[in-house]
Amino acid sequence: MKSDYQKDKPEQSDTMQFFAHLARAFGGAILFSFPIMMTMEMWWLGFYVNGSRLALFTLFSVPLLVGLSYYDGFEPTSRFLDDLIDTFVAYAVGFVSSAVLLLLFGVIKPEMSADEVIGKISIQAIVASFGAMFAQSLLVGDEHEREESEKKQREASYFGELFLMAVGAIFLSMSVAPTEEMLLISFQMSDWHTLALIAVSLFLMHAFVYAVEFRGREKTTVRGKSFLRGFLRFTVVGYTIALLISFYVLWTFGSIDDMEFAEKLKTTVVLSFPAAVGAAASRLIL
Amino acid sequence: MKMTEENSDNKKEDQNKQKETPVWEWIIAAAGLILVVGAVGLTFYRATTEDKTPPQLTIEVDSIEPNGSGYLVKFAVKNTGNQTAAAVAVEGELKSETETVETSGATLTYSPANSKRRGGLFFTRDPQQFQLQIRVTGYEEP
Repeated sequence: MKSDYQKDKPEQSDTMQFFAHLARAFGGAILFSFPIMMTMEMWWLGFYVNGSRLALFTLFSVPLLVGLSYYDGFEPTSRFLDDLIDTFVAYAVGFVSSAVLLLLFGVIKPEMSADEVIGKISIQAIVASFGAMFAQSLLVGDEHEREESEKKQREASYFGELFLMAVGAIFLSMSVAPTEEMLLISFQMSDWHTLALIAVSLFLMHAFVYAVEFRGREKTTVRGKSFLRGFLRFTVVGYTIALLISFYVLWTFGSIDDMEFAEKLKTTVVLSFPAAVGAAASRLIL
Repeated sequence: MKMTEENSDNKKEDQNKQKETPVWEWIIAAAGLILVVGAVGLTFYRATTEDKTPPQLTIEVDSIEPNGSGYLVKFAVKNTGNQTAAAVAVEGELKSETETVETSGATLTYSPANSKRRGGLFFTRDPQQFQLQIRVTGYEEP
């Protein structure tokens, strides 16, 4: 695979290729994470987030990055080891780009304790490392590489599709999850608003599911087969993934601690709106 | 060469899948359906059965401890109403038998419905030597 890859571009060495991919990874990291780098709640999280929850979240992101690298990394991979290496390269890229941006914005200052500085950077680094991994699908101009990665996606099993949905959900919801607006919106909404938001989220998701079917990527749900089947297998399951991930992210950030279950659910539904759109769109974009 | 073999294997799997949806896919779908229906059900139940009572804020002192050169009174505000209060103003007073000795205040950003939020008040004098009165003075609708 690698040999005919080089045939196309004999003038480029492996090292050159790696640096080209690395540059792309940095581009992706900054492009996809600058909204949260410029969000103040995200900076504050650095000092009020529960340490063990943050550690758990960082650990949780490793298998997600490995899987993402398999389907869609910043460079084509053929072995598990390559995916693992790329995961840590992506994390390093995420960490460095977060550190540089936060320094530029004056968020990190010399008088701050190491604890605070590392806390602030490491939260941002998670999202930035996802951005670095996403670089492949959205910033690639090379026809050959694009074809190769699309081929892999076409092979994605049902479980693989669910995985991509989870990644999309986490990625899109992370950009708004730490903001106070999540709580404020849920407090402004009545229970009827909540029900309507669930319905709209499901409808939007199903529209994306239909769009994917229309593009003919998921062969097992051919158009014309029952509406119910696609709805249950992708829309309902996808929305469940969005709900679970939203709940987990809110719990990690501690924004719904000490609230009664029904209020937690309401805030989760609010965050599930971007998560659902991210989950559904990831099957189309990634 | 190895890749092409894997490809054909996957294609075979794809064809099998087209014939029949595996059982575990239905199990996942069922679990998802239960969760979504549960969420909708709970919200619908609340929407139809609960009255919108205004925020009912009760405040209790958790602890009084020395803090720096003064004292810290930690408190918890519990909202037993089913509407959320924002910008909850908390005021604490230290009273001797005849007059107010010291006042102190704090604002909680939110006190969500049926939930608890915590905060603290600072005093320069020891609250245990006086009569401590702590109350919520007002809120804003979010």
